[in-house]
Amino acid sequence: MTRKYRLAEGGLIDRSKTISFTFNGERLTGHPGDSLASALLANGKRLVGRSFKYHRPRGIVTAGPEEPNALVQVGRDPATDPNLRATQVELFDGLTAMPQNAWPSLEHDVGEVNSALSRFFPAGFYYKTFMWPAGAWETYEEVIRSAAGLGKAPTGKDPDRYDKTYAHCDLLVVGGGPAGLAAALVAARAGARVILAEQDSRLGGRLLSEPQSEIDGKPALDWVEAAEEELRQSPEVRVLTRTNAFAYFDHNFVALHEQVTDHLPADERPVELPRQRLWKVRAKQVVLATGAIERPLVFCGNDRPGVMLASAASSYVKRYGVAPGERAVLFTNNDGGYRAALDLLDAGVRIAAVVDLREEPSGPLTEAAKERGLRILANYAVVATKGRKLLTSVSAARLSGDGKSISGAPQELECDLLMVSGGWNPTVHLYCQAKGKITWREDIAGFVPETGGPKGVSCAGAVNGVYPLGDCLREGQQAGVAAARTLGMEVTESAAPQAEGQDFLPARWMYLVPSTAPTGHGGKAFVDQQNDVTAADLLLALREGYRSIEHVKRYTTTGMGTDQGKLGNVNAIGIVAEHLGKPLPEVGVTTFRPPYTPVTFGAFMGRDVDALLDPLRKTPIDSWHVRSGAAFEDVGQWRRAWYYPKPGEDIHKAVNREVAAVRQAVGIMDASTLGKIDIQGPDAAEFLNRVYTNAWKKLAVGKARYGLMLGEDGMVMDDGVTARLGENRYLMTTTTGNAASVMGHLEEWLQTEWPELKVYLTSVTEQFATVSLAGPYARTVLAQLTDIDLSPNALPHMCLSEGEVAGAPARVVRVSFTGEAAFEINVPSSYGLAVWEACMRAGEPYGITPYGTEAMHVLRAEKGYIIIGQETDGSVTPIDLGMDWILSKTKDYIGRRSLKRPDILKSDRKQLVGLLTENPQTVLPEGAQLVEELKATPPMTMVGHVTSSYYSPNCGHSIALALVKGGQAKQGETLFAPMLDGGRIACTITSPVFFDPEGERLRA
Amino acid sequence: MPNTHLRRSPLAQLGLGALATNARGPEQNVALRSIPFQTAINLRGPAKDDRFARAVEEIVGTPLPAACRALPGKGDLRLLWLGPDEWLAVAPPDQAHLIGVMESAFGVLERALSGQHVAVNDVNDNYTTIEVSGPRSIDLLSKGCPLDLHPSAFPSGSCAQSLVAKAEVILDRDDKPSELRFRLMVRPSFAEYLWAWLSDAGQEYGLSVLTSP
Amino acid sequence: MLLIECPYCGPRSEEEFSYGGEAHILRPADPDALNDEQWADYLFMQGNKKGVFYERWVHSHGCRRWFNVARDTLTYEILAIYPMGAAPPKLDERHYV
Repeated sequence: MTRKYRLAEGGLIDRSKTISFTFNGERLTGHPGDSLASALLANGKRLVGRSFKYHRPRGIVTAGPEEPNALVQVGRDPATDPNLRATQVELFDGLTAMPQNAWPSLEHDVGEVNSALSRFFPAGFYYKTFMWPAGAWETYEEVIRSAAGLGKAPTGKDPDRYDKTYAHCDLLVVGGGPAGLAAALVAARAGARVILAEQDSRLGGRLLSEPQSEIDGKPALDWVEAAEEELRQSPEVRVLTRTNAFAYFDHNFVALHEQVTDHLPADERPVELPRQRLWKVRAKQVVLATGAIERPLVFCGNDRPGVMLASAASSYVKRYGVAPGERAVLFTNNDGGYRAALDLLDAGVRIAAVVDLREEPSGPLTEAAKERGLRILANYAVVATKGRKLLTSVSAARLSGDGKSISGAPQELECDLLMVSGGWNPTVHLYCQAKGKITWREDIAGFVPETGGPKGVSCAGAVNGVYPLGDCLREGQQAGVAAARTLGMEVTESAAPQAEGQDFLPARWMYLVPSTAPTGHGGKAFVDQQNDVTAADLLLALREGYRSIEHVKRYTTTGMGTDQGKLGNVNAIGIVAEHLGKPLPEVGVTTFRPPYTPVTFGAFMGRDVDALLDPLRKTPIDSWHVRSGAAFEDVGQWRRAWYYPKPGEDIHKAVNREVAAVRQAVGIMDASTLGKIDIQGPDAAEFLNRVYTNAWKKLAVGKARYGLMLGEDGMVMDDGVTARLGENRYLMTTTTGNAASVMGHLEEWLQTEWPELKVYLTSVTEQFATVSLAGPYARTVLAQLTDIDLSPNALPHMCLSEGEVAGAPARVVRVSFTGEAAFEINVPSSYGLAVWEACMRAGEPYGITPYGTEAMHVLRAEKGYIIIGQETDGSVTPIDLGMDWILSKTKDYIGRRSLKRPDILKSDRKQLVGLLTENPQTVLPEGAQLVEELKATPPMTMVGHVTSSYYSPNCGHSIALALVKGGQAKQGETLFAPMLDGGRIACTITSPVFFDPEGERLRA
Repeated sequence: MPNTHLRRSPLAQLGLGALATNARGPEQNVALRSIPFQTAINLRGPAKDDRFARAVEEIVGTPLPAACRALPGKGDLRLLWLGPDEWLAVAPPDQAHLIGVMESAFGVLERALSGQHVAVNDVNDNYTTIEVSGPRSIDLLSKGCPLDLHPSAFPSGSCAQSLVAKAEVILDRDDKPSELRFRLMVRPSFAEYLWAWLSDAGQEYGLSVLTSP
Repeated sequence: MLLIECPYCGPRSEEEFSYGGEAHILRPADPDALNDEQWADYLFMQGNKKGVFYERWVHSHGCRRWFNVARDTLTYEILAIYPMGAAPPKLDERHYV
């Protein structure tokens, strides 16, 4: 360990334990309580990364989430995270981190040539240069992306587990600093359900870096500890540390990202705990105590490793016991910046000088510095910095009378640390995401929340531009009291915790510090280090005519990435405003987008991955299909048996066998997935009349009818058989995939358009398992299991009967989707498996054959029956399908009027036809486009497409259904399906009914 | 009479019997239990008509519950509010005869309530029940359910239709102060998914499986 | 993520609901009385207002009941909830540029 950086005492680290970690392949050590950044600094590692565009050497700038440079890749592929801020990564034994964006290495970076050529890479460079020739962008993009990267995505499957959860509370407090703690305490005492979210591993906020502060006459951290203890003891309070409130959505819905075990060595992470947890919090009230982030100054050479925010330097000394340099210069425009000089002085770091932009530096801290004998260069600016991979000196020069230029000769100040303070930016990100408006306060040069913002959200402390500790505590307490009272809780008045403290004023605002050369010459002045945007880039954007700050942002990329304007926003706006000669607030701010800091995809997914990604719905008979070796297909969320291959069979052989068995013997199919809706009420028939195209009022009890349902636009929506069970009771079936949407459609019309109809709808899809027996022996098989009279006279086609089947209460419906005589056995679903097995046993002597959805598709296609979603796609009318016969002419129904629109009546619409291929063994690919006139190469005029296509063993040739323009009038014409390999399949348009067109088998 | 031994639970293939214990261990903060074959009857009718309300009360032994509430009736029956004109009567499997009773009573009722209409549906097999119990029940359910299940918002006797993960459920909270207990009624086809999801989500609390009744 | 007060179940999260588009577009009593243009207008055209918008929602994963909502499409504030068939409440118009 490099002792000269690690201080002998102080800080919230445990010096009794030493832990080791690796950075950039080098083994280093630190202490519990360190962040990766503090440990790197303690080891004298000042160069930590390369910049995004120019690959410039960069160092640690901050001590928090706003860090623009020290982005690291932690862990090893696939358990690796890119873009973590080293300032937020807690050190643990065995931590492995790599710098990003450096190739082949941090020390020797090939991309650094970008920096040498940087005058050829101004803002918008990529847009301008690589747009020609148009086709080449993809090649350029690949090279640019690999050169300008933000870490690497894992290549393997994420081995970690993630959790997400909803949470509700009376009060969500974001920020565990003094204001947030005060708010949470008072609300908790009033009995409120409180969630306190703090992104840091510890509560206390700024107090962690100001342990010398006192609250109520005691050390501030003692107060924090007592507050934490009290909150953790309150049963209705949840304290979440390592938890970043990253997004604020409507109606106080706030997303939090908790790092549950990331701070632990791999072997100490409890296996039962998720690595990270996403909290979806709905809060009645929210107090944002999100604090403020120190603003850097924009000057030439401000990105050199060794340039650091003044408050960060204080943090490293006070919280982490690390001297971030050996010889420091402070560059400030405000009194508050002197805190860092004093803190470092106390820690034994030499302060070479203070460069103060103010003409006459004053203020309590300034006075203290003067008393300590610090050398102050008043009305001075840093105009340049030196040092290749670490700062070696800065040049300071006197400002001119108006402060807009430099008047004197620069003097060089030797130093390896330049602490910078440009004032403070209130962290208004979440408040803006909550649709709160912000307003400019000239005195502190910051945007603060407007009073009277959105309902249920208030701000407290530094986010309001309030900095003295005592004021923050008071504001926090007031916000907590107000929130509790809004919720109707009684709050006993008590004095707010007392503390001394001052703000950082007086200050002299300067968004772009003048230099010895005009902007853009003699060194870069960075506004946004993360995105490598300089002041010159902003001015270029303005010269090129961009005026809106949102456009300037997009053109230059300032404020994008993980930064989201945390550091650079106000400086960028200030520079633009100055250049345009407008008051700063008139320029406006860019949108603060979620997430505040990046969130892993794992956290968003939670446990909804792999088998839990989506429900896999199983029928009551599913376990039989599994046991019988069925191949499955997904239909919506359902898993359905597709076919049942016997040893040695492929799909074609299996399906041919199943299809033949249904036509020649008996097949059995699990049709439980069909949607079922119970419709009851005196107006049920009238309701069906309105939602189906055909007539329903004369359907007798005990009979069933096929119905076609349209959308109001006249397009086919669903079909199915509906049976009349009683005087006022019907049972509708829907297609498997549309069960929920049909139910929704019916409820919508019933409730919103026809509330006068006395009808109740109940979804009973899963009340019943449906076993379908089809084929010449279907009746024989079923007869063994039931006392229901199955004879054609007692139970003709489209009729139903109730009784018992195989010991289960059953409803048997004669309905067929195969063209064979078929019996649909509906039993309460818990009986489904038993009844299926009974049918299999009874059918064994007759060669009963289970058939899956593929055979069903072939069987129905032989009959020319459509499948919703296969022959229809939301743009097909019943007329297109040749189903005019089902359109009533004597009543109104949903979609009827639309069928009279001229577009619908055109004769060249795509219409349903059958296709027979020239070679009967050739099966057309489904989806194949059809042309009348073949050409050697595309384009060719397409006249339609194949919707269903199979080999039909019953017909002895292939069959296909297709939608063809004007097809119904083109029977006998030849079409071609051009194939990708240059071949073509010739076919003839025919009737879509290929088998038993008279329907004799059906009625048998 | 149908042979009820032929019935099979939607979770039968998970072999829960082998995993189940009769009591929760001290470190097991949450437990799951499968309760198949519950009697369930969906009722529709005009809540505001006293005759309807009285007729229902006579059969099930409890007045119609208020919105989002469930009330206990005779014979371990619970009557759950599902909507402004919709209720669900839930009872143990041996109460299946209630459906017949309800159907004939409602037939008479509909004739009496001229101009009104009522409906009864046997939905026994349209749902199966998964019980979640133990001190971490709310934490477990909150991982997938957007409802506020805190006792101040969802006390015992509350019921609601909502989501747990991607499954629609009817939640019925029926517990004593000493032990949290939620019953989740779910469509059978979703039961395996929901069980797997809850089991996974409950890992961090030391989840156990209790013997089915 | 909105918090929507179902008139029957109380406040529930948006994910329990489905959106039903603009409210108060009634199906014409006699569709044949409309010419094609008027029918297309009924069928396809809905408002897209910046300000107070009257719209329909259904508590699809809850009690399955439809209802109307008056919502500010800029702030997403819900200003009123009222049953199907009821006239929209009189609300102050909000004008946004």
